[in-house]
Amino acid sequence: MIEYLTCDIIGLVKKERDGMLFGIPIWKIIVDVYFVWVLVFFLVKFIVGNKRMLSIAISFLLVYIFAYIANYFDFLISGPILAYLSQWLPVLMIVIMAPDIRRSLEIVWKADTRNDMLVMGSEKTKQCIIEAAVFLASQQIGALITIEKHNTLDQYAERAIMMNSEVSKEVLINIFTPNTPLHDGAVIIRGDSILCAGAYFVLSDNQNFDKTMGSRHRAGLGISEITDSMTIIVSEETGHISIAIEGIMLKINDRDKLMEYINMFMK
Amino acid sequence: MIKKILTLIFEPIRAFSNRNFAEKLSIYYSKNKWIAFVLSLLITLVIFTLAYVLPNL
Repeated sequence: MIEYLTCDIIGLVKKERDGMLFGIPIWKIIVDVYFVWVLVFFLVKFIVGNKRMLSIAISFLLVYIFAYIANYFDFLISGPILAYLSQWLPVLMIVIMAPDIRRSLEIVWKADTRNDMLVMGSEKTKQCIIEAAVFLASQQIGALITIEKHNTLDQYAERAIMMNSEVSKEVLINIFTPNTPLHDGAVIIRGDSILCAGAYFVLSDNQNFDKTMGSRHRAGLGISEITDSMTIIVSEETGHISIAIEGIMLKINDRDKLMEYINMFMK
Repeated sequence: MIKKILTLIFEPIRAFSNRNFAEKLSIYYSKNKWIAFVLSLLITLVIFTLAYVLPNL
């Protein structure tokens, strides 16, 4: 075996001298590998950048591992079933993830404008957000305030009205005042600044929540399902404050509890 | 512990999903963008080995 391998390696070295490797010109292999690398990089960036896509990809990976094991040991029943399933998984993924794929393809060529260093808001920013939310709740004015964390929200900000202004209670109240142009969408907060206003998110289709839940709450829940952001939602019907985080909606009864959650999130 | 083992036996996919790998990976990627380069390079090397090296051994 060692002799064979040695012969192979010596053979390869001899071929390499002639500009050949495995009987193929080296330049062809380099270009081929480069093309593969570009495609794989595109795919990896595409999958890893989206939490939902990543979780589906991991599930599919498990199925492929099962299929490989079943095929390796030649299992009579599960082998053909898993082989058939693994053939159809790519098609299934495209069908399930069509909206996410479309959105990711739109942004994959755009540069990430966010600074790589994560900067969460200061104490003053937290206070401004809380005071604005409490005031808006007391006046029964609907509001949707999303605080960005690790996952970028650039793709939503790009379609909204860019602001890049300092966070202040007055600005937030003014944005959500009814019958003003920006009141209907969400405000995205990045660090100590209001990145944009009037942003629209994909609504959550979670069936576990009340059917009567409004689109503002569903939007807040939707963004919390696909990113690690936190969203403060003020209901215009009831004046209640809720927060959506990690796909969970929590009703906030008082200012202290809101402060506690914001402190936990923005630490 | 027994509950975890039972979940792993009866619902292996759910047991893995409960570990929140996607969440952790996604956050790790947001902090370390270079991981995409390294990961794609590793996958490319595996494909290269399967396509070129192994058939010629």
